[in-house]
Amino acid sequence: MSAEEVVAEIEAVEAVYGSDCLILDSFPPHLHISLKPRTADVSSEQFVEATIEIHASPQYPNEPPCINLVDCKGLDEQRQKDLLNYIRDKAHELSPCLMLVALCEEAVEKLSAMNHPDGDCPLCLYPLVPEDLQNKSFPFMKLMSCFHCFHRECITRWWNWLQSLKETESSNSAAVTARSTHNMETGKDVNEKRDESVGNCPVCRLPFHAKDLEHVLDLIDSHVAQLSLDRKEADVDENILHCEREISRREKFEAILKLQEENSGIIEPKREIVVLPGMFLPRQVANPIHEYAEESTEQQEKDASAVASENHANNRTSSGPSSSRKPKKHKGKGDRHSHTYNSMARNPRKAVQHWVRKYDDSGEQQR
Amino acid sequence: MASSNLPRRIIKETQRLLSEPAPGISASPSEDNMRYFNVMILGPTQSPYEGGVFKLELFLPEEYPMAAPKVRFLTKIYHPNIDKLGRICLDILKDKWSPALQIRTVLLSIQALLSAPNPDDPLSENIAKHWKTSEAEAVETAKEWTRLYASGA
Repeated sequence: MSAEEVVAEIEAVEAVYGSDCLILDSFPPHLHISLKPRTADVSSEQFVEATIEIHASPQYPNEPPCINLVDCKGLDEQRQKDLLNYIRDKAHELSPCLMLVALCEEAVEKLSAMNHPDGDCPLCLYPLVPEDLQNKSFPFMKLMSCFHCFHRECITRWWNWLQSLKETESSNSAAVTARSTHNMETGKDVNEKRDESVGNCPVCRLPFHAKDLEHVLDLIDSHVAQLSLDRKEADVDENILHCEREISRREKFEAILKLQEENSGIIEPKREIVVLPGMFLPRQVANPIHEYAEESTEQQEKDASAVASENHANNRTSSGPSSSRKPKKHKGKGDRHSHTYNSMARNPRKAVQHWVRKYDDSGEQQR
Repeated sequence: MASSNLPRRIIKETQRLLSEPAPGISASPSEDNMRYFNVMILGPTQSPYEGGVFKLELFLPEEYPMAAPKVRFLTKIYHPNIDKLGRICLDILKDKWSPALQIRTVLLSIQALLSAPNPDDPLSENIAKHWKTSEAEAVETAKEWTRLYASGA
């Protein structure tokens, strides 16, 4: 096979694949080809994509070229390996004939067979594709930028959550007049607002545009009821808590806790507050009555800021008697914990209130 | 019973945590509240916390997995990113939280934080200062605390 024939083959490849191929060298052939599955160019039905590198020696095509995966989307490790092995095997089969176009077509064929999302939804951890694939409607969607797939309901719920966070943020911040009027304007046109917002993929954090989600967001209006689907609750199999392994694990936990407690290695829980004469309940500052609907988002916001300030509180700021930090009444045993957390979850605002002594609490400094 | 009617993701995570625990990490839900986990992390080898068993508590708030779990150390630990109340300075527990993260990944990140303290983003300023001015000495203190407080046998 002469060099001219090989160069002519490269030209043919260029003609077939156009901008999808990048010729690095005509002889010996060295090129990158982006491969897409045959999905009749419907981008919403494309879930995988790969770029392969073909690097041939001067002995090509008597010697099959080296083939590597340069880049891919939507393929897990196993499928990457399968794809690559398949193409390499084909290269061996087709040698010593000129094979570049045939090889690429084989690869596209294989990729088309792999063109479905695989595994679990990263948000709910349940399979993306239900086993009973009777109806042809796809319950999942993918982000165009990175091809990561999620259940439609899961990604929508997450997106709405982000938007509600943003809204509380912007309405809480002391914005200048210009900005708040701007917000009002965009608030009127929901679509416009969606276009402006950008999110990050929950899996790889690659930024995506709101328009990537638009086809899913349309579902919200028509299937509001379905949104609760993924909120689905299930009964716990009590066996997982009461099997022998779990019981012995809990015993081990208790033993270690006891040992560390004896060595004063456990962080002292904040002392139980005893109400004494002279203590008073400080009034909440700027806390008007909210409607119930507002309560949850409002509280989330508050919670978040409380945690932030809590975590950056240093010793100096924590010593004031009117400190408004959440009480952390942790006792050693699980019962007490769960009770505290439960009551905080039900009515977190209540937990912010403290009984405060009239005089400086010496216990505060001890912590 | 408080344990019934949990979102199914929490149940799935719990089952996986119990059946395939990550090396050096043990998490087990409380019997009375399945959103509350007792956690043990073994001090990573090659770290000042080697040989220690650290107890933590982890709580999944109502909004989980949209909001991050709340985690804190119960065992005393000398670490620039953990304060004396056991609170942890870790980006994925705050602004870098993503619902694709899980209890397992959070605990693995905390384990990694023990291997790689970051005094440039401190939560305990005194410890961070100690770490930056004389790291060898700070590491010795961390080892001493591990020996004193985090023994598990």
